[in-house]
Amino acid sequence: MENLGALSILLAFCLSVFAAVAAVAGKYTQRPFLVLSAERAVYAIWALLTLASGLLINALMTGDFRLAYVAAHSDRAMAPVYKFAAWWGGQEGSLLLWSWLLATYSAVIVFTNRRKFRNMMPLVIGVMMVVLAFFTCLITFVVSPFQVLMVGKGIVDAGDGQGLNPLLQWWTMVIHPPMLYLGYVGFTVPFAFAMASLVSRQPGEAWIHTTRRWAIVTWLFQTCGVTLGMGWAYTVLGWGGYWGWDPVENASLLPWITATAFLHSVMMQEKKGMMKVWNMVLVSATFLLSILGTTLTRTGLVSSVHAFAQSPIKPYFTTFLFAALALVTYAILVNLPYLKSEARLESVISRESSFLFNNLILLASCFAVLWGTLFPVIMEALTKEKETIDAPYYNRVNVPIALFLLFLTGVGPLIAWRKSSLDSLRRAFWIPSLVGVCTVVALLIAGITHVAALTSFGLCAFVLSTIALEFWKGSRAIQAKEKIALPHAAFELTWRNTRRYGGYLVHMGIVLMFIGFTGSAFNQRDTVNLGINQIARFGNYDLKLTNVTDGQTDEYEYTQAFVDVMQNGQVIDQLEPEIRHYKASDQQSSLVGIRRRLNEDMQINFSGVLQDGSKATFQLYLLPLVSWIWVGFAVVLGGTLVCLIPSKVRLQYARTEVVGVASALQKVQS
Amino acid sequence: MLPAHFKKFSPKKFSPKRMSTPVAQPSGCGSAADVAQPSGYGSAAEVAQPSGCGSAADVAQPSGYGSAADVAQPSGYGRAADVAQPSGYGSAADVAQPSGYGSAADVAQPSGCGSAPAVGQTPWSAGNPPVAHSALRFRPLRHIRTWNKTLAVAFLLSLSFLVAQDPTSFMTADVARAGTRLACRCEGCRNTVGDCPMLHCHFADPMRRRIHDMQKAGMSDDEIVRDIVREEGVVALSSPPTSGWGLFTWVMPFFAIGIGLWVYTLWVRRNRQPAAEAHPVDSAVLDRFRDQIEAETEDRGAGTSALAPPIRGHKEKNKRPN
Repeated sequence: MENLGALSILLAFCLSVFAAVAAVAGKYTQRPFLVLSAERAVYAIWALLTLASGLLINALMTGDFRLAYVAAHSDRAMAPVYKFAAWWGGQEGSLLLWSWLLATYSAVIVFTNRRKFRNMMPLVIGVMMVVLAFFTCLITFVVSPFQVLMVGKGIVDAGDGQGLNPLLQWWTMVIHPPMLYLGYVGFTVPFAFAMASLVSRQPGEAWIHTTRRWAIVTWLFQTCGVTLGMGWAYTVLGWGGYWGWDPVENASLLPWITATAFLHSVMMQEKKGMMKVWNMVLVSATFLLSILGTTLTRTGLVSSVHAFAQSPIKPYFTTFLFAALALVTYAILVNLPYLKSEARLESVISRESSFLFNNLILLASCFAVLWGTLFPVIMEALTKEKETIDAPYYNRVNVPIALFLLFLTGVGPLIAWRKSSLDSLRRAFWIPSLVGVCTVVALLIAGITHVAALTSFGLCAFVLSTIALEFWKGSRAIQAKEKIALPHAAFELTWRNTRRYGGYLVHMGIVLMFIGFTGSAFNQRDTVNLGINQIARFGNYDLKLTNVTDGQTDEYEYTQAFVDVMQNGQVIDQLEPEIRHYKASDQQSSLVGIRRRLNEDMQINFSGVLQDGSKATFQLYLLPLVSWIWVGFAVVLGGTLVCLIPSKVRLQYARTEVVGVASALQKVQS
Repeated sequence: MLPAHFKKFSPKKFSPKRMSTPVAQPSGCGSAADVAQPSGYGSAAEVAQPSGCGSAADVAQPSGYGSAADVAQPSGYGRAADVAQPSGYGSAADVAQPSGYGSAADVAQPSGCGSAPAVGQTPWSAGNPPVAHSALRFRPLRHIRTWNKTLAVAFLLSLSFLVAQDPTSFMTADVARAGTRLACRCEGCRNTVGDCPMLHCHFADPMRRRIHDMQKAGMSDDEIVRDIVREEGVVALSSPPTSGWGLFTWVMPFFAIGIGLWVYTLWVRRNRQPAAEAHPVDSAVLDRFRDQIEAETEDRGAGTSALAPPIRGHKEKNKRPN
């Protein structure tokens, strides 16, 4: 079986090299059959990698512990879903997952475009297959998932496996990595289209129209992946937080930021024919940062909780990253004349300008995070001196940037394309500004003096009211015309222009998430030792330990504490934090007790028992407003789905075209 | 799925350690005991040996987990073995604290229920009798020669008075304030010494005690930080210093924004093409046109929103004839 698996990966590698070469050669030597052959190779690669993945999953499910990968990442007693999740629980398997996803995406792209973009598709295939060849090369020659344990070393007893890391045995961990991968890998598609359009010097925005949905869907996957990761950290790690600025968390955030910037600036190209170079840069940056993210996750380039130990794939990744960077830069520079803007900026107060600002600020925050992540490595290489960059740095640098971004979220969508007059600005913003100021004043009166939090809450109120006003105005207009109820009118309004109003919903979700982030300024925490029936005061609550019990299952032994949450003498809730010890991996994990409410969450982490056995130690956290992050995420999810629904009314964009440049372009083409 | 001849490879128990690198360490005291305890638990005894070879424990726990201190930790970081790290604090003295600092203290308890209670034995637990947790049950010192055991107990008893408090008690407001300026380098988090949430963090706890002691000696926060940086380098700081390379780190993101703004203004200056100036119109006229636009777009069935800013866009076009 393992031989068949390894063989199919090897074949997939060979075929991806062939497909890349054949597609490009077929295009330039005008041999359609070569291109066709490359397209079929893509399907074959998908079949081969599906076979390899199926074999690995089968080995995991049936517990074939002769395989090093299976023995190291699963055990017999694990629930089937985690045995399946062990597919991406380790380096080799996760690279196989990456390759399989890329192969799937490629097959879908080739199939859906089998009659379109005949000029561009060979290059799209070429780009995607080069990337795939790199990944299949790694799992063929460097870190094979089908490595048999200790061949020829006289070990005949393969045991029951070491089990998946208990921290990963949690439902969000089953979907978080594939989601992130779907997002990371997915951005290869817009990137491949962009590069193909650049190299083949296609006029116009064909690649943008084709890949808009891809870009949105993969952005959504990335968002889901990042948020699920936050949810996991919050629920499982039990340290009263959801984001620790760990290099690997940063790595997942970086492509998300550039993808967000791309989704915004692409509208400029779609509607105005501007920012062509910039969009190329952004889509390439997103792709390269995805690769960088994988490098950080998989090679231990920077020290991190998530990173695997020093691994043999580091030089491969670094080489690939730098080669890709060089090639992309070269391709963009060479083709600069074909990326001339078709329109000009008419006013500094315009939608165009606000998009530029939005991009500038997003990129700045991306740079700040990247800088914080990589600078210690660079500095150590240069000066042999180590430096630590921890959460305080990221918070201090990113909070002002994020606040400004929040401001732009409110202002940008209401500024007209081309040019806005001050009068129209005043009309659009006086109510939201008033709401924002009133919020700040009310919070000041309530006794909140934290400056950043006040600013953030004020801006959140401002942005939310601009969005609410937009919905209100539009719905009222429709209500008046069609004589329907207001909610129906709002629904109708959204359906008529799903992109615009879906976009507003996404903004609203982001603002709600910001409300949740801001709550962290008021976190409280404490550590208490409690004996049975003892009560501890924490915030407005009284906590009483009522019982502690032990038990075990096939997989783990556990100790569970029962804590009554009381307020004014009344028991309002019971939390049951738990410590588990997993037998196979000999590792500990804790299940945090969480009381979720919209105003504040309470976390109780059962840390252990004092040496004399008289008391149990608990870490307590009060986390105001955290739930709004998950609410906001749900709204982002809904809004993005709305964006993907075709509008009821087919839109005609009033696009400004400068005839002179367009004809010049055509001349260049011919 | 497996061919029949492969099946015979699977049934017996295989210690995970055999897969991870070296276990047996022929020299060094206590290593024999380690090998005898495949689970890795209970190796606290070795740490407690007066000869102070805590490193044996390191070798004995290739997984890095599993000492008693870990039982108290959700995330499983911070093994007792690290207490023996050469960084100064730590070593035998720390191990000996009965307050839960290190597992070794358990040795001092003749009942032998040292590390186990956290999971294995909860004396008060109502209902079910405690379930035996083989992996967690305290292994008595039977693998060590008697004189060695005696010495260990005596050694521990002599040290136990040193710190008779819970490690959390070092977390005073003063310690937290100074601690937030120092990085927690436990590799398990990106927090500071002042707010690392991990109980018994093998890095933050000794550091907190050090800060506590320095504060007791009358040192200010600045002096404490300066002393620690002098010893360990800027790597000890939680965020880069505001001088030298550190300043570069701080300034760079804002410098990048500056460059971005500069490029933006350049771009605007080069690409600017002012639209024809609109004549000022009074708001009554504007409102009339706005109504008209709404009426017309609605009649055609296209929403008011067909174009992103349709009303204003049309408005400006429409007002030109006026």
